[in-house]
This record gives sequence, C-alpha cells and structure tokens, in this order.
Amino acid sequence: MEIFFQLFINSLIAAGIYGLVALGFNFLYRATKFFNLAYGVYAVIGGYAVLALGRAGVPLWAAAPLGILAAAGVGAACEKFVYARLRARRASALVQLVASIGVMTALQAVIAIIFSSEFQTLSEFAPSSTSYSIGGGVVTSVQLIIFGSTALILFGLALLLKFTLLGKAMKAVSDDEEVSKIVGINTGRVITIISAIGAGIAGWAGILVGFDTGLQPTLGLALLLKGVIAAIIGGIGSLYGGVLGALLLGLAENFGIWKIASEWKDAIAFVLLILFLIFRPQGIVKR
Amino acid sequence: MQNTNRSWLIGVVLVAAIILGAVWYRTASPNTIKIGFVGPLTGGQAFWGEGARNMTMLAAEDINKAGGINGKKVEIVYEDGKCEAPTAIAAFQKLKASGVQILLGGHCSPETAGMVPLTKDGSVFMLAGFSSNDGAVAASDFAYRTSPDTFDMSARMVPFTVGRYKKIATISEITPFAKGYTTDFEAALKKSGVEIVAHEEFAPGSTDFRTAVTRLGASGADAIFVSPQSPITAVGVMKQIAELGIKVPVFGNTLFVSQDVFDKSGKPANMLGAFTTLPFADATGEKERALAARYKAQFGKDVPYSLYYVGASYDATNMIADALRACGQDTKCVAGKFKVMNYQGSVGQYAFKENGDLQAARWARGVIGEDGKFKLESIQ
Repeated sequence: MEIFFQLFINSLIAAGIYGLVALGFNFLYRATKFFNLAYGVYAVIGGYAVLALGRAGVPLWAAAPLGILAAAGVGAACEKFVYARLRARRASALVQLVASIGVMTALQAVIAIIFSSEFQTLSEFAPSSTSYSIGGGVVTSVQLIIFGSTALILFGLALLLKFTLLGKAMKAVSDDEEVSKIVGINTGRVITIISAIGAGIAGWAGILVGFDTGLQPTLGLALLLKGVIAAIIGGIGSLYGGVLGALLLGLAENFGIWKIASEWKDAIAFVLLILFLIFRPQGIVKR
Repeated sequence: MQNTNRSWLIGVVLVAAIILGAVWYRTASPNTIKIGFVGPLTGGQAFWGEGARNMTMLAAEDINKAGGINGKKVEIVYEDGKCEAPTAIAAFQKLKASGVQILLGGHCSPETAGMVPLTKDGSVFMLAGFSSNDGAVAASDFAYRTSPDTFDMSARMVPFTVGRYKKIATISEITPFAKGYTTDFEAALKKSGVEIVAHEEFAPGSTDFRTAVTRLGASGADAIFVSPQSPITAVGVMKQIAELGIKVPVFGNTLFVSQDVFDKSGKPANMLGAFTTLPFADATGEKERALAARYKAQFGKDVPYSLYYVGASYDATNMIADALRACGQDTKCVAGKFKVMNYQGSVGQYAFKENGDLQAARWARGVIGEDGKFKLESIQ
C-alpha cells in the first residue's frame, strides 16, 4: 500500500511539471497555431538566468521574477523578429516549426557557450528542500511548489481570458486572427504578449526544474517532449485539457512501470499518444 | 528588380568563392599536418568533448612551440560528433575528404562505435578517448583507445563489493557505457555469489526516476549500484533516492561517484563511503599538477570530470605526434607504433592490448570519505 501511495505521489509530481509546460505551450499554440519547438529553451533560459543572477549575489526573491522576465523577453523577441515576419510572408505552420528548430538550436548553443554544457543546479541559492510524508509517500517542498504553481497559473490564465479586455483580445486572436484585425485588434501586439506570457510560464518551469533536478543547455527538448504529449492527449490548445493530459500521462507512466521494467516508461507515454491520435485525436477536452 | 537579382547573384558568387578559397587554402597548405578531432562539443555529453578539446588544444600548442612535427605545424580540425554514431560518421567522412589521415576520437562510445568500421581499410588511424564499451575498437587494426573497457572497470569493483554486500539493486541509463558497465558488473557479482535483487533501466535524457527508485528501495537490497551516463543524470537519481527517504548505501560507476555529484545531490548520508574504480592519475604528481594548473590558467576552470580521462587527451595528442615524427602520415606505420607503445604521459602510462584497448597500468578506488571529500586511493 505504501508503494501505491508513493507511486500516486510520483505521478502527481510528474504531472505537475508536464502540466506547467503543457499550459504555457497550449497558451502559445492557441494563438500561433504551430508547434514551437523552441518553447523548451525558454524554460532553460529562465533557469540559467536565475543561475547567473544568483551567482551575481541577487537574492532568490528578486532573481526568480527576473528569470521569468528574461524568458518572457526572449519569447517575445523570437515572436517579433522571427515568427511574426514568417507569418507576414504567409509561411506555413511547417515552415514556422522548422524555424523554431533553428531558434532552439541557436539559443541552446548560446547558453552552452555562456554557461558551458556542464550540469548546474540552483539548489545552492535556496534553503534545502524539506520533505513531507503524506499517506506513506514522500514529497518535497519544491514539488509542492511545482504542483501549486501549475494550479495557480491555470486559474490565473482562466481569469485573464475571461475577465480582462486583453484576455478577450487574446481569445479573439486565437479564434481568428484575420477577423480580429478587421475589428481593430492589434494582433501582432497581442500575439507578442501571448508569446511573452507563454515563455514566462516556461521560464518558471525551468527555474523549478533547476531546483528539483538541475539544468543543462539541452534540457529544454526533454521537457518539451512530455509537455507536448500532455498537451496533445489533453486537447491541443485547451488550457484545462493540457493539465488533465499531464495528469493522465503522469499516472499512466508511473503506474504503468509498477509491474513492468522502468525502461518502458517512455514507450508507455508514446503508446498513450498514439492511442489518442487514433481514437480521440481531439484529446480529452475538445477546444 | 533586375538590380536586386544581380546583387543577390554577386553575393552568392562571392560567398561561394570565399568558402571554396578557404577549403582550398586548408587543403593545400603544405607546411601543416592536419589531425582530425571528433568529440561531443554540443548536446548532453558536451562536458566530455569540451575537456578533451581543450586538452588537445594545449598539446597542439606545445607541439607547435617545440617546432611542430618534422618542421611542420600541427593543425587540429575539430568536428562535433554529438556523442551520436551517425553524426560522428558524417564528421569522419568530412575530415577524410579534407585529407585527414589521423583522428583523435571519438570521445564517447557511440561516436567510436560508429567510426571504427570506417578505419578498417587503413585510410585513417584513430585514437579514441572516453570510450569504454566492451570491444569498441576491436574491429579495426587502425583503432586504439586511451580508456579501459567496462569489463576491466567492473572487474576492479568486484573485490570491494563482495563480502560487503550480499544483495545488490542496480539502476542504469540505457547507453553503451552505462548499461555495458552494469551488465558486466552484474555478471561478475553473480559469479561471486552476490544476488541481484532488482534491476532498473531508464532512457537517456530521463529526469524522473522516482518510480524506478521507489521499486529499488522496496527490493530489500543491501546497496544500490547506480550507473548513469552523465553527471546530470547521476545527480537526478541520487537526489530522488534521498528525497524518497531510501537509506541503503549507494555506489556506482565513475560518473556517479564524484565530489560534484555528492555536493549537488545535497550531500546525502548514504553516499558517504560510496566507491568506484578508475584509471589512476596522481593529482599530487608534478606533471599532473602542472597540466591541471595550465588548464585552469588557460580556460579559467578546473579540469572537469576526471584528471585521467580528460588529461589523456593531452597525452593522446602527444602520442600521435611522436608516431607521426617516426612514420609521417603512413597509417600502417602509425598503427605499428601503437602496437608496441609504452608511453609515459602527463597523467598516465599507456600501453595497448592486441585489440586496441588500453592496458591501464595503474588503477584507483575513488571514494566519498566520511568527511564528505572525494579521494583517490591507488590500487593494483
């Protein structure tokens, strides 16, 4: 029974990270309609920005928001100088996807040049993570923050979209960019803001991962992969769907390897993805 | 519109001319000897490639300062193999096409495994580093390596394990080195009567090991053997072992038991006493200290990972230079030199087995002491 609870907690921890990445990815995808593979690097930028600021003596309470801002800034800049220009030339989603691979590779290389490819951790900038025992399972304070912040960001984005003028403009642009332009919405500006928010969420995910497991310039792609699977099985473009998809993915992976060897974990994730693509391509929640 | 097209055409012609000129210049320069280097310079394993490249640069600088090879300057051409066989093969082909006949690399097992078959015809001689999977260079008479294989490494671990632990649980990354090490170690332990009570594996790039580690913790093992492919994975596994409250002692391969992994995992109590075995480089020795100090002065950081493995790239470049002085670029002659090589380098002594593997002369047990400091103890 103790193992069962620990596996359940392990599933929730995994779901927390997948959900956080899926949330930002879906938020961005709703507006831009392409798979931005550079999204994972925004997470890495958030983590490394906090590392640099921490080393410069900036306290964590200031470094974390600055890290999020750094990721948001890079996300907005990529949108303005790369993707917006491609869209202006009526480039297809495939062309934008290929461009995002280029952005990912270039940003990853810049991070590796500045910080080296060696493994780094953010743990040195914070008091050691406390462990709590819940129902026979163990969870740390960082993992509770991951889970809590996923819920808070989901709630915050829902409020933003429902109750603010900017949110309504975002929904309009996500539904139909052309019509939004006709009714006077500055769609370029709105998509840049969406990109900044999406990248900021990724940056926060990167900071938390930096505390939980550690940072490496290439970490972004691994983070992105599971986040995208969660986004697809939850319902691509749906905020709630992304989090539900993350929960299902976390449970399937961790309970799936309870009785079979753990090297099958990734295979379970991809089998789940294939099953959804065949039998429910719209995902759990249809947007 | 016509002017724009013309400008584009002139631009393209100019760029093509510059590239062709550069290629021609590099190929045709008669006063240099080109040596290729293939290692992981980007990607998750780049920490190895960076160290190896830096050491190779230091060695090339020294060789050129001392007059080069038979009056010719050495030029190292660096290519990124990304620790992937296909990328390494492409890098090999590119280097070969540009006239390279001597290669330093690969600098991880998949790179080496990919390139070794291409050297069989003797057109290129290669000296690999950081490549430890069993039989990695055995397929070619023109391939050698400065790393011992995982069979040798795991065999050295057995005497320290048998008698201390009766039941072992293992967890390893699915890579030629990490998994190969565990496979060899488990086989050796079983022969010595140690029971393997749990065995877990995970894909490269994984960051969540909690469920695998939960199962290891519930297996009733006396100790957990951890075999990762990189420090980030090592820290990830160790942190999650500690977070889940698993108290049994841990030990592992050379990437797992290190000061860096111990510190970054939050100095867990069950890692005190963790041990591994590796070729010995005496960090207090005169040559070793001088090389480490130069590395730090030139690159602004300490020698990463292990003084032996990284420093071996410095020695490898010098061994190649010695062979080239005697043989010119005759790869058959160079291979012959390596067959009878007995070279005292800056971090070790190098002699090679019939199959191209290193015959490591000195071994060490690396251990995290009770004071939390990583120490190397020379063993035989």
